[in-house]
This record gives sequence, structure tokens and C-alpha cells, in this order.
Amino acid sequence: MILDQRHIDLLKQNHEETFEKVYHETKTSVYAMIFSITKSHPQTEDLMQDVYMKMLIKIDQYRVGTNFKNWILQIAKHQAIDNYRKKQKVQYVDEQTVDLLSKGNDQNPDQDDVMSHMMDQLNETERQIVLLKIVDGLSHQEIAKILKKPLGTVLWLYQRALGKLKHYMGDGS
Amino acid sequence: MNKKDIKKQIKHQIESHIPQQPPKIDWSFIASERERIQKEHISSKHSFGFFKLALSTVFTLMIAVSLYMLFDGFNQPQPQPSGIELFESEQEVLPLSFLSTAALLPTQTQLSVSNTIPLSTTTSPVNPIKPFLGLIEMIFSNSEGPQVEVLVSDLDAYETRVILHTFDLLGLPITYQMYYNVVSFSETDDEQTFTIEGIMKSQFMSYPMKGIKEVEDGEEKITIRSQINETSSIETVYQNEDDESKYHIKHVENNVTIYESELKVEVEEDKIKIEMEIESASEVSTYEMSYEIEDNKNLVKINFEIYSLVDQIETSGEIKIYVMIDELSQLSSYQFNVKTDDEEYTEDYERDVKHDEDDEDDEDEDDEDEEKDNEEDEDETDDEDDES
Repeated sequence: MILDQRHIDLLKQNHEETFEKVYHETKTSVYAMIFSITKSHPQTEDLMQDVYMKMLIKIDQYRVGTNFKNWILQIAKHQAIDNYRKKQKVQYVDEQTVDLLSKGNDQNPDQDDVMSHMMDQLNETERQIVLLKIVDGLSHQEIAKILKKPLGTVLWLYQRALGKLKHYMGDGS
Repeated sequence: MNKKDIKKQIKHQIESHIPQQPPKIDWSFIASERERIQKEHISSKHSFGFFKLALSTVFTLMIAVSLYMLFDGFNQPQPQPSGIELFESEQEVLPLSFLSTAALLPTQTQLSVSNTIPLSTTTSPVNPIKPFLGLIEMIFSNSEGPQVEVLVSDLDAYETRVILHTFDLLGLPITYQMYYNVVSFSETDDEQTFTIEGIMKSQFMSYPMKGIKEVEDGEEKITIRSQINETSSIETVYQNEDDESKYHIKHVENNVTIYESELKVEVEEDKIKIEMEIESASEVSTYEMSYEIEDNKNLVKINFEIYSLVDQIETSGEIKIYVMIDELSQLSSYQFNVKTDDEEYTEDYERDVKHDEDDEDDEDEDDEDEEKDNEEDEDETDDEDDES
């Protein structure tokens, strides 16, 4: 996805329709990226708003002609990491409390539980690759560019992550 | 559950949570934030403007002084450390950087056979590590790293001479030598950068060598590159980022990156563990190695995982490497016992170790500092994407 100067100008002029278009084209990747770091749906949903606000505030910094999705995904990644760090600083709760809280907030506790445990099998990079690939259907090449990793590493980590999930689901369900 | 179902479940689960409507945007807040950022930007520009005049005066003075020094000639060398001091300040990194590069340089025999070090052409799990066997042996034989002598050079063209003494797994000594000059050096606060140029000697061969230390965004990087010929080189990059130190090793042949590898050495309770990830155009391999004794035999034990980029198949298993000696000829070789889920087999491989017998440096070295362009050979793996 590449935005031209006209789109940028429209976003600067608070053009709702353009913003909606941008949102619909990027929401899946942005959600996947944030979720890969937070592993929590309620937190991800909250951060979605922050990411799009930040994107609009910093729209001047987007270089016309470059890949917009890559750019907003970097914002999403940093926003999620910042949030994670802040949360780490202020929250000291045990796992049980976290489980209770997340169960209380989530709409679909059982499925979310399974998902959460699946994600726990993977490290952060594996989660990013798996989610961007499976949920948003990005190519390995695109993911490699977003994560600034060699294509071979992305391919390797993707296969390894699927292997881990298969092993976990085979044993666990 | 198969992979397809897992993917379906993940996709469905995530998609069910993605808000379908865009978030409500407080446009007035966005506008005020943009304005604030713009103001900050302008004020920083303004405050910079106040210093502009002063700065330009300083620059003019600096240029004048530089020109004076250049033409009038203070006849005083730039204040930079000697090669010996420089080596000592980087003694945590440089010995292994030098060793990694030197150990991968081709021996005379290898050069005369193929002008290159052995490389993988088939899918045997042993092939990717073959070029690294000498280095692996040396790391396992010297838990505290190689012994280093830093001396004043005995060659006119170079200021500093470094000798690395190490051993192979049979306990036989191996020596590498480096001669170099410090070409540039700068130091600001706690950041130090430099360039060294010289030669790397292994057995009877000597190769041009260049070392650069750079600091980018607070991350330091030391690159040692040795040229095998005009288009081929071995490069070791030590990088310290996020509190983790790694060595990246790159072999370029005919201006094409043949493989890139990442080397991590861990010493825990006197036990050495090597982790290696090797990437070539056709596969990505990871190896975890340890040095063990089984049935009174010393061996290198390796757990490996290889992912083929061509057919997207993953293989994993175990390799045991023994160093064998033929009693009659006293020649040594490697024996690999390979075990995967599907098969088990033994493979032999010639062991061409650079022992330092008769390695006296009686020949004069030319001061040929082949200044290779420091171009980055980015490995562009143009493999087709696996779209499942």
C-alpha cells in the first residue's frame, strides 16, 4: 500500500473517508502486530486507537512513495512495546490475576484461552511472523522487510513456529 | 490438529476481535498535537539559528587550522594509539574475530585444488558446517580463547604483529599471524572507532586484511575482512547489541555471498556450547554443538535443524563428529555419524588443518594493501516466496 501526496493532504485535512479507507486496508496487519506483542485482545483493541492517532499526528513524517503499511506497522510495534514497558513498570500482578482479568474482559474466554496458550508457545518474532502471515496473508518477503530480517530466517521461523503449534495442539487438544 | 486447521483457527480467532469500525478520532486533538510538534520543530530550528554564526566561525577556524597543519606540516602524527595499544583495548573481541577469519581462509592445498574452501552442494546436514570444522575444533580446544602475543612488527611495512596460538582437538598447535597498521582512529567520550590494514598469515599463505570498528546508534561493530582474491573474501563482524554479542561470518565468492552465519559461543561451568546459524541460498541450518566424551572417545555432538528453502522441508537430527587417525599413515580425518528421523549413516571427510610445522616467516611481505571497496555484499536471497 502506497499513499500519494493527495492522500496525505486529505488525511491532514481530517478527511474521514480517506482515514476509513486507510483503516480498512491496514487494520488486520496492525492488529496482528500489536497482538503479537501484547497477547491480549483488550489491550490490542485499546492500542489500535493509539496507533491510528499517532499515525495521523505524524503523517508528515511518512515519505511519499514508500510502503505505508510498513510504516504504520513500525508505529504499531513501537506503540505496543512502549505500552508493554509502561505496564511492566506499574503492574505487579500474579498469573492467576492476569488470567482472571483477561477472562473477565474477553468476549469469548474459551477460544481466547486456547489462542493465548498457543501464542505462549512462540517467541515474539515467531508470533509476529505467524500472525502477519496467517491473519493478513502477507508474503514472507513482505514480512522480512517489515521485521528487517533475512527472508531465509523468516521462512525458517515460520516453519518452526507452525511445528511448535502443531506439536502443542496435537498434545494439548 | 493439522497445520491447515491451526492456521484457520488463528485467523478466525484474530479476525473475530478486529474492530470493524475505525476508532473515533478526536480531530481537534490531532490538530493541536500536529501544531505542537511543528512549533517544537520550528523553535529547535530557531535556537539552532542562534548558534549558526558561532558554529560557522568555529568551522572556519577549524578549516584554517587544518589547512595550516596540512601545508605547514606540524610533522606530528595524529594522536592515535599504537597497534599494540589498540589491540589491548579490544582484546575481548579481536582475538576471536581474527581467529574466525583466519580459520576460514583456504589452506594452500585447498587453494591449489579449487581456489576456495569446501562448500556445500548437496543437502547433507554435515555440508554447511564443513568450512567451520577447523574453527569449531579450536573453540572447543581453548575454552579461554587463543593465547595472544602482541609484538612490534618484524616486517618494515607494518607496525604491529599479533600471533595467535591455538590447538586442534588432537592437541596439536596451530598459529596464525596478523601484521597491521592503524590507519585511522577517533575517540569521542566513550565511543571509539578505528581502521586497521595489514595482512593475515596462515601457513605459507598471506592475505590482505582490513579491520574497521564503527559505532552506529550506540551499537558497536568490529569488522575484520580478509581478501582471498579480488572477488572473494571472508568477513567476520562482531556486533554488540541489546546486551548480546554475536559474530557474523560471511563468505563472499566471485562477489556473491555464498553463506552467512551467526556464531555464539557460551561457556557454562567450563563447558563450551557453540550455536551456529548458517544461511545459504538454498537452506537455513542451525546447529547446537557441545564437546563430549562417550565410551572414552572425544567427540563433538551436534543437534541440528535444517530448513530447505528449495523444497521447504525441515530436517532435524544429531551428528557426532570424531577425529580419526590412520595408524599407518598418521593422517587424520573426520568421521560423521549422522542420525535423522529417517536414516542413520556414517560419512568421512578429509581433515585439512593448518598446523604450524615449518611455518617460519622468512619471506618478505609486500606492502600491498589491496584497498578493496568496502561495499556491503548484501545477501539477496531472491528465492520465491512460499505462499501456502
